[in-house]
Amino acid sequence: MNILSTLNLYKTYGMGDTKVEALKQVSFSVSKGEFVSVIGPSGSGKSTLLNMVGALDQPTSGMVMIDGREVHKMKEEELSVFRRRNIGFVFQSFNLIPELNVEENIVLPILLDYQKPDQNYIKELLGLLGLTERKRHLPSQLSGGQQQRVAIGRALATKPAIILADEPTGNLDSKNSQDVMNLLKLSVDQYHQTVIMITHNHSYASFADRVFQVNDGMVRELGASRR
Amino acid sequence: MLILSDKNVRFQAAVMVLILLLLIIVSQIYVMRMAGDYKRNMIAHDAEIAGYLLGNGLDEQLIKMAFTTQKTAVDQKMGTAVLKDSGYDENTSNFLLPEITGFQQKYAFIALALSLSFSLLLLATFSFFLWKQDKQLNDAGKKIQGFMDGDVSIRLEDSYEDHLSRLFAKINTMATALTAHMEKEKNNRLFLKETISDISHQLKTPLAALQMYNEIILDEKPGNAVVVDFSQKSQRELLRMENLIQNLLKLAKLDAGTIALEKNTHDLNEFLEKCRSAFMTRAALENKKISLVCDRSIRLCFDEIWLNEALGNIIKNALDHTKAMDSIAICGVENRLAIEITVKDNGSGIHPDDIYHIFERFYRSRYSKDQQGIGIGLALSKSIIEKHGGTITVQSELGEGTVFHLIFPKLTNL
Repeated sequence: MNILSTLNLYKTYGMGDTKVEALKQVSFSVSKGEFVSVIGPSGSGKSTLLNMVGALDQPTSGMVMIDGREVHKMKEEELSVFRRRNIGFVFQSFNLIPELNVEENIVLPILLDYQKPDQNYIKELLGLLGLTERKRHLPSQLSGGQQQRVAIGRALATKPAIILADEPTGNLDSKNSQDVMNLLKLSVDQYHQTVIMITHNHSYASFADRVFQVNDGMVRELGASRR
Repeated sequence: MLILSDKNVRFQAAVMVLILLLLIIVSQIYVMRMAGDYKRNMIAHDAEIAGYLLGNGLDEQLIKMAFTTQKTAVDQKMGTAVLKDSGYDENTSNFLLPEITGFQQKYAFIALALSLSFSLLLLATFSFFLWKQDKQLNDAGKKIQGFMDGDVSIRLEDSYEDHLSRLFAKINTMATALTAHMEKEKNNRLFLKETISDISHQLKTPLAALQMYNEIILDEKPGNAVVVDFSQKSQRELLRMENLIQNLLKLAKLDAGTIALEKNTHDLNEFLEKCRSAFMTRAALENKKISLVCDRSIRLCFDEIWLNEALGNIIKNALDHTKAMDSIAICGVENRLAIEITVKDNGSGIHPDDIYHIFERFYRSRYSKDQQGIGIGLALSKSIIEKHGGTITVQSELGEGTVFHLIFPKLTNL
């Protein structure tokens, strides 16, 4: 079943001479439980693609369906609720709230939706991410790898339909990168999550079930013919 | 304020507050009008009194003073006493005072109208919101029904902040998980079916080759009694193996749910006769009798090939467990509720320890001396009969014989 599908997606920035086509005719679909990585050079449209898929930006034309709902037709108010419930984000620069401790950062998206966090699940999540000992620490007291693990926990907290990761290892050294990648893979397998991850590192791309390559706004699946 | 995060609740609360505010304002306005009315009535009353007194020759100055000067408690007491003498005091009935009655009637009507209209307004608002919520729930119910009816891409409307929307979001997650699960299950079934047919096809070829080699050896007539004996034995085993593979394939196909039964209405007697005749040669060879009793009018809806397989296994089983001179009786009966096929033999019977297990796959009795079976025939029969919506039961007495009942309920005729 397709948890995410796009059809003839176009995104253009600017007008007239300064017009830039960031995405051209993008059509693909991702099944539930798949780990997809997106690679491509800088400026090729990777982040634009992730913004479209994550309902952070509206496409110029074409459609995006997440779990059977047409995201491109939603209003801004609906979108923010939809994002909160259905999409988990992991960013390159962690984006944790500095005043909140590890546990509070992880349950934040649940509290934002006026819900009570399931303590057992949060405990399990902290254990899986190896943060049980550090759940009372502030982000500033953690290493980069640990902070990114907190961000992964935050993305997993609401059990979203899809997790989007924009270069999750971009700010980490190679050892921490490896840890974060292993954890991301482990946690998505554990909770049958769907992940779309942008990465520059081709060896991390091989963690994925499928690899998309973006070039000049065109998306192509590597090895698609073999599937 | 968790409860006010709900947009609907917030809107409803706002409308209610507005209505209540309006009620306060309107009632205050009416109190003002009531005061004015009271004043008008009092002045008219006083004027009447003044006029009357003037007409009866009282001093004009004195009358003016009577209405404008401040009166004392003593004045009131004396006045009350005077009026009481003429029967005019607080206890006087309202009916005798037309001004009071008119005043009461007018304001009773106004208060009634006011409270009634505001009550109706509140009620209407309340039921409007109830109706709205009801509609939302009904729509959700319809969508869930649609999902269950097979449209797995349907999702509930969950992009709002209210409680229902949060519940719907959870239901959507559940729907997605279910769909993913279903898809996986379907793929697994397909994979299983393909694997089984691959394996059996792979096995069939060497088996056919073996059979051919065996026949060649037998045809050579080696003149060696041992070789002939063992070639015949291996011929028998090969046939058994072929049978087993075919049955396994059938059972697996049934399990994978990839078989669609081609059900048609047939004459039961004709069908049973066909089944019986297939075993007549073997029965004659082993000196056993197979009898058939069936009413010609009975008609049953079934897949002929598969039910033949099921019944064939049961008859074969009966033949395997009877001695020469024993008899097998096939019988078809129809009653109001069901059509029943019974296969009865007077053979060795089933040991009580075995009777609960005979429909299990690969179950081999510890008590049976028969070496031929592999324990898959009855399991296959049960699967087929259950696919037809029927049931199979067995009764047996050790040494007396066994009866198999195949019961097909006539559900459509109930």
